Amino acid sequence: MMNKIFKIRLSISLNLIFFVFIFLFYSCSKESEESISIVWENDKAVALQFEKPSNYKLGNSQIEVRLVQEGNRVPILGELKEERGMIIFSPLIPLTRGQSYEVFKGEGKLGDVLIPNLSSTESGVSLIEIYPTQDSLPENLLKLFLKFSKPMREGKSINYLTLIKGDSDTLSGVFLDLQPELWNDDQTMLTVWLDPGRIKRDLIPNQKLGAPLSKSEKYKLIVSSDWKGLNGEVLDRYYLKDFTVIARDSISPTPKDWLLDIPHSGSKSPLKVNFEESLDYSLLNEVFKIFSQENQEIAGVWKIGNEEKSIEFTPFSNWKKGKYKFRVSGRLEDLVGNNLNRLFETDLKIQTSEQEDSEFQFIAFEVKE
Amino acid sequence: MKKSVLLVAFSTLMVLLAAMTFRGNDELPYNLKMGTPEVKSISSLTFGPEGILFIGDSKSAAVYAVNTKDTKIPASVSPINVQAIDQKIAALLGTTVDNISILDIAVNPVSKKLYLAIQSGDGTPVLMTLSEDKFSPVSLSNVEFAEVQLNNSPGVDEKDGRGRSLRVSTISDIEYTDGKLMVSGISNKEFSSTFRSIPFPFTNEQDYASLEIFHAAHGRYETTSPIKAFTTGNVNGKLYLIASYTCTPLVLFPLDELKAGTHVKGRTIAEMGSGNQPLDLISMEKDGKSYLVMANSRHPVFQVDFKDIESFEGSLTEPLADNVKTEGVDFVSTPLTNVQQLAKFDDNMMVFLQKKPNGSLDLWSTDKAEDLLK
Repeated sequence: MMNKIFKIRLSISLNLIFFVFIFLFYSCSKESEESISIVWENDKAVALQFEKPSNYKLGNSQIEVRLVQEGNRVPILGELKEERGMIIFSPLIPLTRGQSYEVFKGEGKLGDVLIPNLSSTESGVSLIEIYPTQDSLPENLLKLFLKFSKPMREGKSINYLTLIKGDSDTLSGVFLDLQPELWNDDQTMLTVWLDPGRIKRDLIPNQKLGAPLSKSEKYKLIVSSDWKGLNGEVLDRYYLKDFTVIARDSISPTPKDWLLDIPHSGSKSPLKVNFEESLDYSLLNEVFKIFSQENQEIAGVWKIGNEEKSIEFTPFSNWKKGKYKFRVSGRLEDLVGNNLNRLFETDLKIQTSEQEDSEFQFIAFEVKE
Repeated sequence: MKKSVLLVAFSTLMVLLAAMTFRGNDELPYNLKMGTPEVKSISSLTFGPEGILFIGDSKSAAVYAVNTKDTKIPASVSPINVQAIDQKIAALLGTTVDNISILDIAVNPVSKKLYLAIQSGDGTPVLMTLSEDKFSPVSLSNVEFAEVQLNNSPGVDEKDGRGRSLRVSTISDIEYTDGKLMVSGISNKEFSSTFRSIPFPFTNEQDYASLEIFHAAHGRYETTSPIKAFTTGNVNGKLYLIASYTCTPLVLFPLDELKAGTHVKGRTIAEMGSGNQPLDLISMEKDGKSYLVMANSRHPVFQVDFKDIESFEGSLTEPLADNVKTEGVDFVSTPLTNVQQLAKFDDNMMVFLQKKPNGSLDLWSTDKAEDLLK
């Protein structure tokens, strides 16, 4: 009996101790939490900063930062620095938005910190355009370009793309899962290849599965809204591109057949060049130059026309009367990978002699009064 | 006479001593310099001589040679077995597993330490080592390094002899063999194959061998489709390049035929079948024989004797099923499926990064390479 009473008393006292402990811990962690601040750089949480605890020695610090998660919480790898009475912890990669981290000194917890999710104003990203923009595309289409408003997360892009034939036939294995993926410098534009092994004639994928696209069929390309921006931004909606497939393109672009709309001298009216077919969006931005008769490059602005079938050049200074050269780099491609010098695939049986490739082709034009 | 010999010997010694003193601290091996390379991404790794690590940086279109100074020969080598490696790395980096990718692995042939190229979801690259089950970050601040720019260097924008300027936007693979760093690159714009052989140590006057490699299907349709992965192998003292293409064929080239500005045609030795992408290639040498080991996106790991490939004169275009015996070349499939990365530990041991059937991404090694290769 005595024994039982003692036990109860003991547990009450333990409970009291527990409550005091909880209270102390709460107030302590609350106080500390306020003093842990997040260091931001380009919208990334690159470090945590907090007041130097007493008895702190750099190099023998026992300071640890851990991700709050179920299971084993291990100290995060990073660098500790001491600056003006503050401790700065810089992890190897930025702290993840939406996750909480806890800071320890030895066994004692200094506090928790939550890395906030992006606010609604900064959390959006949109798909600006899908190139080629025209809605009839050749059977042997090789490339698509997706242009976003902000840098996107890379590595799993193919998972967010679906191609549907007709109304409901979801196609698999259409896009090549290439790692590393083909992004532009600021990671806002992705190049996606339709599987070249299926496009190139006579390869096994081509024989077994056929070309990814079939003539006269209708397709829908769907870009999933699950695709995240580089800093965790959410794609504002899903995107859809409808297109119809037309006959294969087996002819290289031929600049000599292009139509030029030539401005008059004394104006800054644009020179318009019509290709009569859609060409590769990414290359159109960098393959053209205009030279005067004296071989001086004319400075100005290029603007790609509707459905990538034309380009306009507006000079910074007025056109002068005289002869000019419109220079096209040989690496310009059409939608199926044929460039000015060679086709995407060369049929060796019909090729008679190997022609010398030219780095550039020129179209001469004259500006008149 | 004796005096003059002694004098000459003494002077030579002094000159040598002076030369060694002059070399001093400022002249680092392999034309390296001290500093912090601006590495924007780590897409591929390979080792050169004496602990020199080559880092392929796709975002900078550059390759960095970094002196790891990790040259201690280990007394013994323990096997690697790390289960759920992605979860372990994510925890150490303070993030969740969906926020990291392991882009490449490489083993330092001297120290036998494993190096991992990791990328976080926001693109931050991390270089780590794994030794005795312990992960350690490798700092790239204040290191001895040299760099080679693949695009914006003198000579690179010049035409390759066939009128093309070949710019690289992504490095698909790198490998060091015989004093040369080989780099295969892919452009996000034009559809073409670029392959460069760059002498190491890097010099100011880059001797780029930039070329386009063609291959044909059934000897008929020829393309310059880009290279996804490659390796080199030695057969009868001759060095070969074996390259897997983004459109699936496996193509063989004698390395001495690869010269700048030439239209080089390779021999298709196999097609890896529909829907399959070759992910990684390594060559192993055992008892004087070279073997190719190949990880695939859809098929299990294949291995094949280089000698069979070399002696086979035709072009193979049959699809490879498991354990298929093709005309003259045996591509033997191992029981290993879903292997994402391969690395050569030494001629007796390989390392695999493998997605196991239970979903766990495991890194493990086997010294039974010999068994796998039979």
